[in-house]
Amino acid sequence: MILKAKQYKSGVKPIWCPGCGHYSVLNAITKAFAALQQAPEQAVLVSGIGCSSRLPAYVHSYGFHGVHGRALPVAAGLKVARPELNVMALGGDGDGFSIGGNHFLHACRRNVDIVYVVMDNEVYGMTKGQASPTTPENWDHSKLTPHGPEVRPFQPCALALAAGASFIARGHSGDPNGLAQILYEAVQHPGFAFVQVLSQCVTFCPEQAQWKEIVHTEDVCTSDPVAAASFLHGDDGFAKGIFYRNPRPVWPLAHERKEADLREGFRL
Amino acid sequence: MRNLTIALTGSGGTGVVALGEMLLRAAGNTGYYGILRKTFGPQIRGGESAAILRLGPQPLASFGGEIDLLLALDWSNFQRFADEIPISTSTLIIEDTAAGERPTQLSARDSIKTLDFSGLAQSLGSAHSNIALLGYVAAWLNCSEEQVKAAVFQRLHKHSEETVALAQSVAAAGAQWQRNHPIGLSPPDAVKQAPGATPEHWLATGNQLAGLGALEAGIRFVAAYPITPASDALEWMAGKIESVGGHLVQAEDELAAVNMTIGAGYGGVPAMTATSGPGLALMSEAMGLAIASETPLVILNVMRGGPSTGIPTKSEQSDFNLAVYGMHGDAPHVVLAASSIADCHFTMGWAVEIASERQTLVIVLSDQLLGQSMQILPPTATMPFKASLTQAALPPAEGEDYFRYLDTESGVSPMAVPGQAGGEYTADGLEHSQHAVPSARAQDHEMQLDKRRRKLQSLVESSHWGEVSRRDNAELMILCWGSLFPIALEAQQRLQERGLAVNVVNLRLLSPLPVVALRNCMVGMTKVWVMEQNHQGQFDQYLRSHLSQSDCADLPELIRYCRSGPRLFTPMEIVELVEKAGGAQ
Repeated sequence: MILKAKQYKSGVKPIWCPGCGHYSVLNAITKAFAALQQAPEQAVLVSGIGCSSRLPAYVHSYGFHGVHGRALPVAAGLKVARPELNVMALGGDGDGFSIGGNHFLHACRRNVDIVYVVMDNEVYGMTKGQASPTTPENWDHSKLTPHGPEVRPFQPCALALAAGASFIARGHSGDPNGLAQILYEAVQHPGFAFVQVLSQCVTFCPEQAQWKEIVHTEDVCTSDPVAAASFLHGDDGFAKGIFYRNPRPVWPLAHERKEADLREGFRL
Repeated sequence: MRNLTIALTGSGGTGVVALGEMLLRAAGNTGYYGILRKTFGPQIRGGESAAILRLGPQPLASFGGEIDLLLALDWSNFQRFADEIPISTSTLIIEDTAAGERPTQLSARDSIKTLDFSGLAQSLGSAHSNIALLGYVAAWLNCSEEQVKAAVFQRLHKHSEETVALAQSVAAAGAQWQRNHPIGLSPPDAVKQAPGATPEHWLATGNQLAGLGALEAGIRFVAAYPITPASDALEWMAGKIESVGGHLVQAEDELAAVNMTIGAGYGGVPAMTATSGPGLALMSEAMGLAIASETPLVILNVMRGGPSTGIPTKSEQSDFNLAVYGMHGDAPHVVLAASSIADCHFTMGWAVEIASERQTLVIVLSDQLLGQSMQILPPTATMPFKASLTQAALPPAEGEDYFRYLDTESGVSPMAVPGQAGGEYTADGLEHSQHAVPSARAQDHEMQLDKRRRKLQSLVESSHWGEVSRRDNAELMILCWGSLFPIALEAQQRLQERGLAVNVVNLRLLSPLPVVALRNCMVGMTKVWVMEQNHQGQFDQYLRSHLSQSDCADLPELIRYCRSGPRLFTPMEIVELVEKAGGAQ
């Protein structure tokens, strides 16, 4: 039986605002699953806390909705314990780059075979519009930071490269087909695949509706980290495409299993 | 002399802990039973370190408190643990010529023997005075040269053959020396009559046995962050877990460690982490997640002095409150305490079984004393526990709904694991309906809270809740948990020899508290001492809050007896305490 994209929807109604970019990300995931003919019981979506982290409940697969910032460790533990599963971690920019920032760096470095999708809208939506690590310096719409954050935003793709990610891409919620294609490639990449998705929050950042005018496709995919770094540091943040793909050994590395008696070594 | 306690003091790097281990092994192969405690300062090199070795003809699970023989390789940091090594006028002291200036409290003693162990080692081209001392003491204990050689090899087998051969020759020279410079104290002679330890006996630490218990009960995934004094449990497991098809991940921090463990547990693979107080504190948010999402999770917490960084290398029982209460929300879970080095194996196994059967968090409290002390003991019994997701759902029939968080009578709901078609659900730390859909409704919240509490209640009926050591006609009782149990048992024995009957009750199940079983133990008692190694009497406060809920008109007098680490309880202080009160009856 061939599964269609809509059969990967769970039927639970999303809590998202009308016009939220995450609806398109949900569609892109179900499209990618249809393209892969992913068995629902073999896929697990793992998330943290935030608007985007609600996504697993909306997909017909297994899911784990954990605590704020810890999607990546849950996903890594699951994948190491159950390597035959297709494990995808997902969440928002606050979840992934602020409270979960350390796990992001180490997930890039560790290279467990999982996909990490960050729906980046440069804002904390669920707590009603505070600045995140990717918010522009001068964004003064939050009562918590009335002068704007006055802190330079992270460049997530450049960070991922520096930390050792072996697959780095950016998509846009305004282009669910293009995003589905990226996710299709990301799932098949052996190792840690990082996908930043520009996914607008029309409620707290209505200006992001303009993103569709300024995103541009770049066909720059390379396996050379120096070329990728050069591109990513000159990037305006609105390029989309797969930027870097350089497979390296997936963790945990395979070792010859030596049978041993657990009780050996205790005797006097 | 029934048994003998030797203290070995030096600075980090002089090898007194290695000396203690080699001596324990050689003594064990000569037929002694024994136990070795290690005490360190925080420095890796140059700080204080000491080993306390107790040997005797009978199995020994505790330390007596008295020091018969003190061997000093280095006095320079002695003051830092002088409190933990109570020297009396009957303590025989031998120092190395290179030990440095004597501590002031010993300067007036004229009975200190000074021997040139470092010179002896140097004359053979070795810098290791500890090995010369090993040979010297081992010869006095009637260990054969072969046994000493074997103990040296066991410790140094990863070094070159030349290094091992040199060390063995230094030990042999130390043994030769013993004949010319006798110690001036009879070795424990009872060992000659006792059957004693045999080569089939084990030499193990509590941390190693906790690791063994975990793997034998089915743990196949471990994620953890290094922390003293839990790291050696992890290091032991790291060397073994792959042989049974599992994995150990060194995580970036404790937050990652516990969440990785939860991820594996969600996947149906029995999983655990191990840590100590500061790490347990960092894990507390995720512990709530395991409870709410009903994911099996086992945490071994090897306690040290706290709060904050506290005293990382020394023992205390002060994480009780954190383990029992340290979570946000109403978060029922299980807390167990290992009651001896050997019991680390049993209690870890029970924890693994409870966590998987009841889909919840189980914290096992051990401490530095149990975790890092090394004991000669009979081979550990076969593991009676096994992780099993006995409630795992069969895939529901086509078109039938699957209720992951079904409100069942036992409180345990059918748990599907990824890979099972028809069981797809999203585990959630958000409150949820029986159908695993997020819900903020009061009715769903109350139902799930009730369910998560209910599924733990029957645990108090388990015979594993604790151990009761009764004496005929006893009206006095000692109630304790964890590493105090072996000390209390020794006190009970000594009291009996003095004609005083005392019962000792030890709790393995701390939460939920087996109140009925405890009340039954208290029937007929006039006084109960509640003993624990922390400053506030954390367990005692908890106990009283539970007892006040039941009919307590006939409760015996409860006496709190607690003290912070690292000054350990001694059997003699308990004897004196009970005698004083018992005599007043």
